[in-house]
Order: sequence, then structure tokens, then C-alpha cells
Amino acid sequence: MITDKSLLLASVATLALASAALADGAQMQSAGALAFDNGNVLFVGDAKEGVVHAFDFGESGFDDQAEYQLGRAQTFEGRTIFNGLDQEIAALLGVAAEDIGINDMVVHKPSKQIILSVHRGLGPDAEPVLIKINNGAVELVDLDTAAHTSIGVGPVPTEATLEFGQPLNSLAITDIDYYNGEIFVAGISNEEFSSKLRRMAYPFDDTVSTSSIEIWHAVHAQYETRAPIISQTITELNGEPTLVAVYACTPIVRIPLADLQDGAEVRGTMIGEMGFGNTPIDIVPYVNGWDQTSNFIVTNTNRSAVTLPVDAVATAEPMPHGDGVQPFFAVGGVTQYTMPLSGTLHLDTIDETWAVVVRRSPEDPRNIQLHTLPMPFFFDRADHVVEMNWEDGPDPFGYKAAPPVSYN
Amino acid sequence: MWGFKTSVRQAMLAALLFAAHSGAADPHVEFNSVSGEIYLTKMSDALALSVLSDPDTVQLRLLDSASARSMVLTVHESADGLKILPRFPLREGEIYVLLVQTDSGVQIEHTITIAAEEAPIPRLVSFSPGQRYIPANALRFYVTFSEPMAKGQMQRHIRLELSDGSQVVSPFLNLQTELWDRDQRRLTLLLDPGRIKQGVGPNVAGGAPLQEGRDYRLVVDADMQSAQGTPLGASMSASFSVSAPERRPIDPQKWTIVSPPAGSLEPFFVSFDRIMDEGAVRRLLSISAPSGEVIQGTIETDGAMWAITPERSWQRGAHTLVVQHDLEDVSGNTVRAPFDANAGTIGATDTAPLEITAVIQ
Repeated sequence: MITDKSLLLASVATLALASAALADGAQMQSAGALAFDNGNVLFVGDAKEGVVHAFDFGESGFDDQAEYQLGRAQTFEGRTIFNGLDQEIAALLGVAAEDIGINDMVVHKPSKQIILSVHRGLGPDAEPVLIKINNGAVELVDLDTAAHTSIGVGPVPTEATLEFGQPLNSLAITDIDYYNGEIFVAGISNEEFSSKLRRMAYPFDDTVSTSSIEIWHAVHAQYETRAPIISQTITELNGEPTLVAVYACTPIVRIPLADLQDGAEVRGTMIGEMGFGNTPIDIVPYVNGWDQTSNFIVTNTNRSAVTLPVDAVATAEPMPHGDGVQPFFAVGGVTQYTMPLSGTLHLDTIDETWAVVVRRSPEDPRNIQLHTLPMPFFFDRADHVVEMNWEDGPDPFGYKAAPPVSYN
Repeated sequence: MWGFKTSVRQAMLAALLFAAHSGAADPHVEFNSVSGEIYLTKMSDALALSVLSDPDTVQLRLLDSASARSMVLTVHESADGLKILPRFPLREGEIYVLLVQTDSGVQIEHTITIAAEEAPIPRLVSFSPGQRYIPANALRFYVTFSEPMAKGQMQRHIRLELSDGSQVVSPFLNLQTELWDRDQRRLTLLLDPGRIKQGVGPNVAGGAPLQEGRDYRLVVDADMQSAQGTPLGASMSASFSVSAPERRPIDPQKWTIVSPPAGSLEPFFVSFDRIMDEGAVRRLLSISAPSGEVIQGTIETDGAMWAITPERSWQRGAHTLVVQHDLEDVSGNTVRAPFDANAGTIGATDTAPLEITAVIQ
């Protein structure tokens, strides 16, 4: 039998727990695509609530990672920060590794701190959390320390739709990019096949410009189709701020930002084709520290990653289209170089020398690793069967003379 | 099971340690399933102080965790001992181990079993388009389950087969994200547009995933799990046959409209000339009264027809059926353009909604 006293105690305890939970990160219903502004503001795509959150952590919000050794670039040796990254995060959250989802990764460049968006659970009640890597340890990001704002981008339930339960349509936010005081949000609707790009100023003023982008698909000799953007980045090409986008199947497209006005029907210029049977994951800009050229790296689901020189993207001629053009099935258009990355789930750059990936281990795809890769080749010698790695093999660059890397 | 030997060893070690501390009572661990808090009582003041001063001495983890890391928790003083507050609720059906370990060894090791309520077995309750015949260039399927489902299973547990049981290879677009509704009951399956678009590499090399004149079934296998971890238990499927592709833009002039009599509560009925996307048509079609006010009511649609039964009886006069330009049929054709448009034609059309007048008498 429950006495009044115990009932009261139980209620009080529940209330305390509920308020504790509310105080901590309750702003988010889900946590997907991540992006930073150029400072300490972290944008988080929340498809479930149909918003983008902005968390301003301020100057002291991140822990400096300068002392954490990322590998030894001179000898092409990256560092495995974690084997079983999913298991480490799951332990922190008190669930089994198969019950979490690692949705995106971004690096806070000033501190070199790696941030991951994670779901605790796989159901609709999954708890969204942000995880940081702090000198080799996984920790929860304390969202209470950040000033929070948000802006709606997805379908918003109206009173009329709520009457019949939650609306079924939603926008999976696939990418967020910050450029010069604005964010650009790409997504895939579960009920609509289209490419709508949402553009909004930060700090948010509740104004969202939506442009529909149509592209010419060079692989269609005769037809063109609207399609959703998977990933995008923004850069200046020939002095003009330009969105460079990769699509589901798999054109590379150039769109001047100036064209992206509210309600506009924009025709993007297709400048390359990445080959079919593949979906791109991320497009990330980086500078080649060896020759100071600017490039993009594109990671893919079913192909190796490729890099595209920014100059080539800027000067590429539109791919031919219209009457008389033959179907085009292969990789083509703008110059692309294959990079030795596969099994990549998420990628970002840390600094001018290092990139970091969440990936399936080349040796055991069940092992989800957090691993660094030296740029500009995104090449880790240990991942590959290289003669130089053999004990009695040649050593033309003196890699073996270098003592084994010992980490702090 | 993990750590059985370790647990026994540690328990023995703990017993020895407690024996050495004469007078120390066995600490008592109690999990409050309502508040989610864990109470440690009957422990020595020295141990309590030691734990309070260094909360890292407390570890809480799944019994079979592959990592030695503890889940996030805080330690607080309580009336007769300590209170441990896990940052996240302990999950149903799991066994946790609470370990208190100081410099002198394991002081407390206690397992906490979280009972699981019996979760209902999920079922596949609908497949859309639900028609017997589906156009060969269909772009999108919806599968709806009776329970919220777990994300991340689509590639492993949902497949498309021909009626002879042979599997259609890679029919769906390989996206990193799965397209669920908020409740995670309805999943959108996008057929690979690269295989549907005419003249594209995958279309030419592999053909469209659906071939006219053939019979298919979409199979959800027995291992597909609900969000609560309960599998279907038996595979479930939806069968359909494939008809000619639909490559024309939507033309509302081709719809058949049956207007109800004024003053009645009968449904206003639209029969389409093709199968519309059920999700899109529910959202993007509406009817306005002569005053311009949007009619509220119950909408029914199976994609082939759309009907609204009003909350208030129909007024006499010219009503307007409003078709948003994003409306799609199951093949991704819109009012503005077919899915495969001739080069240079997309984007030329006005994006204002189409309005069709229907007079109710």
C-alpha cells in the first residue's frame, strides 16, 4: 500500500528530476547537422522540431586542444583517438552501442575541439545530446552555458493539422553552412522531391528566404529534374560568393549566392558529375599546406573521396546539355582527384594540417573509429598496404628512422 | 555474460575488504524506479566522504558494456547516506552495475535490473500507394507501422522482390538519413531517382527498379524492430503490379469533381486521373468557401481520390479547390512540370497555386 508520505516523496523526486532534465539541453528535440560560425556559435539542425538552433558558447565555451597530439604528419601517421567511438559514447550515455546514432561531426576551429551530434536511442523519444572530445575523452557538452536561439525551417504544425495528430511531413536537414552572417540550410522532405535552399541571417530575425533550385543533370541527355541537395559549401569564386552543392545522384553545381532570393526559381550551373551508384556525404573546403591551393573534399557512400581544386570549380565550363547531347554516365566535368578515403561517415578539418573522420576501420568495419588524417592527401600510411611499412622493405623517406609516435 | 568471473572476484575482494574494516556495516543500495535516483545507505562516514570528495569513485555502466567508462552522474549527500543521480534515465530491460571503488579497492558492487514492460509486437499496417497497379516510374513508397520503429534498419530489413522471390538490387536511394515522420511510424522509401530518370546511367545500366507488367512485393523482414526493441517476429509484405509509367505533368482539368448539395454535410469528392502522392495530396489540396475561408473537415484519400467531409454544412456558391504547385503524383510529376522535363522548361511556370472553381448548389 502506498502511504501519503511515500507518494509525496516520490512525486517530489520526480519533479526534481524533471526540472533537472529540463534545465539541460531541453531546447533540442533532435540533433543532426552541425556547423559553426567563424566564432563560438554552434548551429544544430533539429529535424524533429523543424528548427535550426544556435548555441552561443562565448569565448570560454570550448577547451583548448592545442596540447593534444593529432599524429605525425611528417611520416603520414594519423592518430586513432578512439576505437569503438560508438561504444565510448554509449557508455557515457548508459546505453548499448547499437542504441545510439552518431549524426554529424564538426570541429570548433579556434580550440580544435571536436563536437558530435548524437541520439541516445533510436526511437522517436531518442534524447539528442552533443558530445565533445576533450583531450582524448568523450564528454557531454553542457548546453546551459550557451545562449540559445532558434529559427523554424521545416514544416510547422498548424492548429488545423494538430487536430488530426502530428503532421507526417518533415524535413531531414542534411547540411548547414555559415557564411558572412548568414546560414544556408539544405534538406530532404519526406513528401516532396525538390531542392529548396533556406537562407537566413544570424542573429536570427525570423526571416527565412527559400529558393527553389533547378539543375541540369548532364547524365540526362534530354531531361532535367529537380533533386535535393545533400551537401554544400560556400566560397568566393572569382570574387563572387558562391554556393557549391553536391546532389543525391551526383552532380556538382555552382550557384551564385546573389541568386538565392526568397521565392526565386534558381537554375544552378552543373559543372561536374561524380558518377552514379553513389551518394555524396560531405563537401568540406581545405587549403593544401604544401602548395597553398584551395580545394574541396567530397566524401561518398560508395566511392572513394575526391578533391576538387577551387580554381577548377571557379573556371569549369557548364556541362553540355540540350538537344544532341549524348547521355553521360561517368565521372566528368570539373577536375576531380581521387583521395584514399573510404568507409568515411563524417569528415571535418581541424587545422591546416589535420582532418578528422568518423569512419569504419579499414580492418574491421564493425569498429567505428574517430581518427585523424594528415592533409593534403588524407592519407594514413598505416591504413594501406605500403611496401614502406614492411620490416625489410625500402625506406626512401626515412620513415622507419623516426621513432614510434608516443602520445601524451 | 560479461564479467561474471570479474564480478565474483571483485565481490570476494569487497567481502575481504569489508571484513578488514571492523564495524563497517554492509552498504545498502536502493534504486528508486520512480525518481531514477540511486540511494547508498549504511555506509561508513569515511567512505561517504571519500565518495563525495571524488565522485569518480562511483561508476555506473551496463553489465555488458564494452567500455570501462561510467555513464554521466552526479553524487549528492542525502539524509542517511548518498544519492546518485544518473544524467539519463536507466533504460528498460537493461542490467546496470554500480561500482564504488576507492584507492583501497572495490567498496560496493551492485547490479540494478530495470524491468521492461512487455512491448507490443509491431505490425506493418499500411503500404502506399495502396492500389493494385503502380506506375513503373513510381518515386516514393510509404510504409506505416503500428508502433514507433527504431531508426537505422531500412537497408538491412526492407527489400523489394519480384513475385518469384528474386530481389531487386538497390532499388532505394542510399541516403545517410532515413525519412521517418516525427512519430517514427511512417517511413518514406525513395526509389533511386537515378534509376527512374530516363537516360541516366543507372536507368540505362540497371533499368528502372519497377518494370511494367511485372508483379512485386515490398518485404519488411521479421527482424525489423520497434523503438522498444521488439521485432516484427514474422516478415510482412505488400504486393502490387506495375503499370505503364506516368510522365505527364499533373493537370487538374482532368480530375472528376463531385460537388455535394448545399446545406448538406456530404463529402466534396475529387477523383484523380492518376495516383497522387498520398502525403502530398493530404497537405497540398484544400477547398475554400465563397467567402475565401478554408473549409475545415475530415480528409480522406487513398491517392486515387480525395474527399473532405466538412464540419459545417456546405454554403451555396462558388467554392475554390486550391492546388499548391508542389503537389506531386507518385511518380514525382507536379502541376508545373513532369518529373523528367525537357531541358530548359523547369522553372518557367508560375508558382502560384492553381485554383479550380466548383459551384455548390
